[in-house]
This record gives sequence, structure tokens and C-alpha cells, in this order.
Amino acid sequence: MEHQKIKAKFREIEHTADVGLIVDGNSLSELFANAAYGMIYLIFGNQEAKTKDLRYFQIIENTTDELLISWLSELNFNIIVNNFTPISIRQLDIKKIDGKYHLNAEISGGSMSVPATEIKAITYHQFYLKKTRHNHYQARIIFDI
Amino acid sequence: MRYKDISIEKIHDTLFEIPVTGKMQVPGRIYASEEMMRTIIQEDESIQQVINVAHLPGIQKYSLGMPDIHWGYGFPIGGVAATDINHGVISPGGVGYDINCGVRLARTNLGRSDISPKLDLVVTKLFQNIPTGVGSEGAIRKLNEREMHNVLTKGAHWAVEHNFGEVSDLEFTEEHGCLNWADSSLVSTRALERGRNQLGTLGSGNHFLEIDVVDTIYLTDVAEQLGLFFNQMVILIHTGSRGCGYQVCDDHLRLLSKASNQYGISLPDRQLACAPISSKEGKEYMGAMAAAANFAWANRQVIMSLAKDTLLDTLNISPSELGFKLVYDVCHNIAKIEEHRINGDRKKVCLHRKGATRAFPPGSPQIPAAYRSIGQPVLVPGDMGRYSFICVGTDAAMEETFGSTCHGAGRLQSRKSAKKLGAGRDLFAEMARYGVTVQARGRGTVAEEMPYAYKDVAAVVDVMDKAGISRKVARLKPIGVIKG
Repeated sequence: MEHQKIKAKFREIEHTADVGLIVDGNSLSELFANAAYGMIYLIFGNQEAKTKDLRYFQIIENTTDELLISWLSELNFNIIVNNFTPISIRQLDIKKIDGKYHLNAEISGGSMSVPATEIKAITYHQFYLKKTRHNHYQARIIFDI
Repeated sequence: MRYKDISIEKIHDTLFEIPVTGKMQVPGRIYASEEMMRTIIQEDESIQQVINVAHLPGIQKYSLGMPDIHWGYGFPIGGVAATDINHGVISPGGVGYDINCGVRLARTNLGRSDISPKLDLVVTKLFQNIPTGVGSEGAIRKLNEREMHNVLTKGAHWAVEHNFGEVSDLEFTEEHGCLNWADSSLVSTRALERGRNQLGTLGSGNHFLEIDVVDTIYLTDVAEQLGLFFNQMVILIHTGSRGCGYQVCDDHLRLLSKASNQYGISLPDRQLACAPISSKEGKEYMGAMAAAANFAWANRQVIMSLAKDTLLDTLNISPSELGFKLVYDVCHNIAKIEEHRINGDRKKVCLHRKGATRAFPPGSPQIPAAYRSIGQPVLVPGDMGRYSFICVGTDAAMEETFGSTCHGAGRLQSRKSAKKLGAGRDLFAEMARYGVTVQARGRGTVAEEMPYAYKDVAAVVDVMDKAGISRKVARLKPIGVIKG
């Protein structure tokens, strides 16, 4: 399913030295997409870029917490090193297979000019990812900047 | 004074003790004034983090907090912990993401009146020649993999070999600018990739290069020994291991969180992930962390050399007229094996200093011969408008804090609220009213880093001076700043 940036649900939260997000989603995959859009907003603000490229990501982790941190870390690495910033998450599926969580994503993206913020790392500080009610997920993520 | 249901004991005017409760292995101790302690208790969870650190296996004497303590990841920033090298653990959370973030001070022969007429031009040229900001690329070409391994192995020595500075600079750098137990083969491909084009870059956030003048001298004899005089122009540099260090920390936090479970270590916070120092995982982190620390020393050495060349070109003076010389370089995010006196015996420990500076006393063989009579220089930067401090270490530091002291001011405002406060204001003009010329990549960074966003660093160094841990030598007033 395609996750539209325009509908992304995230809000920036106060943190003394760093920055944080509260992210919502009506499914786990929607939450992961919104978290990605939120992180890109923190890095670039409202800058727009033209889609140039299509890339595929696969991440496997033991827990959904680890999966979310790894997913955002993977995107951050691609932004910094490969100059590939996700513009539209065209497909994002999360499945549990043999006790592990598998994320597969198809992302169109491109290069942005000047990032406003450098994210050193995505941390477990005050982190949570939980199902708040039926078909609704929420996460809190603090980014070390 | 109470924190939650714990009664905190006042040992003296600048020292408070948290008694052992639950599974704490040692008490916690925080250096602060009474007013600071009340604020620390109210404003964040750093007291809880001092308590959490006291749970680490093999921790010795105390889990320590410096007066600039604030909430970090796992360990508080401003936290110091020594762990037994045979039975204790090492924790990346006790070092931080910016491995070997540190400060370097260089002096010149110039006075305020020599630089003032050309200050704006000098700041512009420094900003042009020293890459700053997010994703900034080095003034030197992108390193290939072999060169990256050389940097990670040799640290500041690599920079000197490549004509960035003088051999004598190494003598005035903590650990001579290189941890010789670094193992670059333990640094991931990702960390190599993140660092390859960042050598010689300041980065963003609170990192900076400043032109300062010495505006107050507290200890004349010590200042003279350091080559400092009233109204002298000096250069202060604050940066670290850039993306390479961030990735090393991230990589090993993941590995060590699995290792903590494997070794049956029960932790009150998963960001305290750790492993026995003698374990495979512990040794691998130490080797990779040391390699990233070496990158940071090379980085500060290159930046200092670029600054020196810029001053020579812009002021059109000779090297002897400029008299540029490194005073000292300290790291404030590091873990090292050091020997300390514990319960009357000399013992090797793994010293975690996260947002804390080594402050060795006079006579220490680890400090330059030229400073052995005065103690190790300690560099404590404040905000970009007010002042920074130069101090020296003491015997009391060795006895009480494993030879450690404070490292900076600490934030008062979150980045978000600092930006809100700065909205609609001419921040560059406000900085000019402080007497500071600022050049930065983005207005956002200036808003986040305005003096009102920071606590007063004078209160921090005063606590450590009063406690006898580090003595104030001189105060520096910024006049020109470049930031990311």
C-alpha cells in the first residue's frame, strides 16, 4: 500500500539537547512510513525534491522496536552517504515470519540540497512503540542531533 | 534534599551523595551547588541516570556527576564511572555517540587590537576555508578506504604526517592524539563511509570554531606557563569524530545490547547496554571506539592547521609574528584504561568520561613536561556570546573524581524553544551587541545556539574550583565564531 506524505501523522516534541517525534499510524506499516516522513521533516524541513530513483529496502529484526530503529537508521544512512532521500514510500509491508519481523519497502526518492539538521543516531532513549487501541499504533522516538 | 523516595546527603557545599539503594553497587556523587542540585532534581532524569550507572557490574567507588550534568542516553552527560578491568563492563552509553568530542585551544602572539580591524574578514575566510554544517565535506579530498584505516590507526599523527600542523602539537594533545590500541578492522563499512568525506569538518549543532580574547586571568603564574596573556587572541575548536564516531557507537550499542543479555547483565535502562571489558564484544567496542577517537584527533588537528593557514593568509603576517601554538587538546567523550588509587591500592580501571574532561594534577607523567608543574589544562567552553574557561587539574581530582572535571555549560532551552525565542529577531545583530561576529550555514543553528539557550558556564567551573577539583586559570571572551 502506498503511504502518502501528505497524510503523515507525526508531531515534533521538546527535548533539551535533541529532537523527538510522536508518530501515529492506523497500522504498523503506516506508522513506519509516518516515522520516516517525520524524520525527513526534521532533517530537511519543508524542502521538496524531485523523484529520481526507486530503491528497495529489506530489514529483518527480532522485535518491532528494533525494526523501527533499524528502518530509520537505514534511511538516515542513505540520506547521509548515498544522497538518497525518500520522497514517497510506495510500498511498505511488515510481516512476522519464523519469529522475526520482516520489512520490505519500495521507495521513490532523490537528492535534497542542504539538510537543516544532521541526525547522529536514532536512539532508544524514552522510546516506545505500542498499540494504543484497535488498529492504532503510536511511537515516540528521540533523535540524537 | 530528596529525589523520589531517596534522601540525598549534602557532603559539603559543592558535593551531594546518593546512598546505595536496591541493586546499586556504589553510591552516586554529584558536584553542584545547592541551587543547582534543586534544578537538576526538578528538570530532568539525570539523577536517575547516576543511580542507573551505579548498577553497572564492577563499578568502583562512585557513580559521579559533574555540575553540568544533564539527561543523556544511558549515562547522563557530565557522568564519570570507573569499572574494574577484570570484573567490570564497558558501555558505549558511557562514551556517547560523538566519540572523542573534544576541545582544542591554540594561542597566538596577537592581541585584540591586532585582530579587531580585520575581524570580519578573518571570520569570513575561516568560514570559507573550514567546512561547517550538516553533511559538510572536508577541505581535503574524500579519503579512500586505506587512508581511512590510516587515520583511524594514527589519529593526529596522520594529520601531522600530511602537513597539517607540527610534530610538537602531538605533545600537547591528550594521549598524544592517538590511542594505540585502536583497531580499525573493527570499524564497520558504514562507519568508514560516514567518515570518508568528513575529515577536516566542524559539523553542526554545538560544534564551533571561535576567535577569543583572554579577558580575565585568575592565576597569573599558571597562565604564563600556558603562554597566555591579557587581551591575547586565541583559537578555540570544539568538534569530534563526526559520522564515523556516531556510526561506531550505533553499531556497538546494538551488538552490546544483545551481549548484555548473553552475559546475564540486568540493566535498568537498555541504553546502558554493556559487556565485560574482557569479553569479545567489550574488546571489539574498545578497539572500534579508540579508532573513532583517533579520527576525532585527526579532525581537530586538520581544522587547527586550516585555521592557522587562514590567519597567516588573511592577516598577511609571518609565522613568527603570528606565533600560533597549540596550548592543549582534551577529549570529553571517551573510555580509557587508566590507573587510579582505589581503597589505598593502585588499580587499572576502564574510565568512562561522558561530557567530562580529564583533569590530571601536577606531576602526572601523562601531561606535557612543560605543564607538569601546573597540572593538565582543562578547556571548558561556554556559549558563543559570553565566555569559556581554561582551568587546570588538581590532586583532589585524582583523589575524588578519577582525575575528571566538568566539560561545558549545558542547555537551558530545548533547540525547538530556542528557535521559537529567536523567531523574528535579528540574531546576528544581537550577537554583534555581544561583541561577536558570527558566520553560520543556517539561521536555525544560530537560533539554537544563542547565549540565552545555555546555562551560565561560570557557575559550573566555579563549583569545581570551589570543590578544589579544577582551578580557574583564565577566561576567554568570544569575538568571532563560525558554526554549522
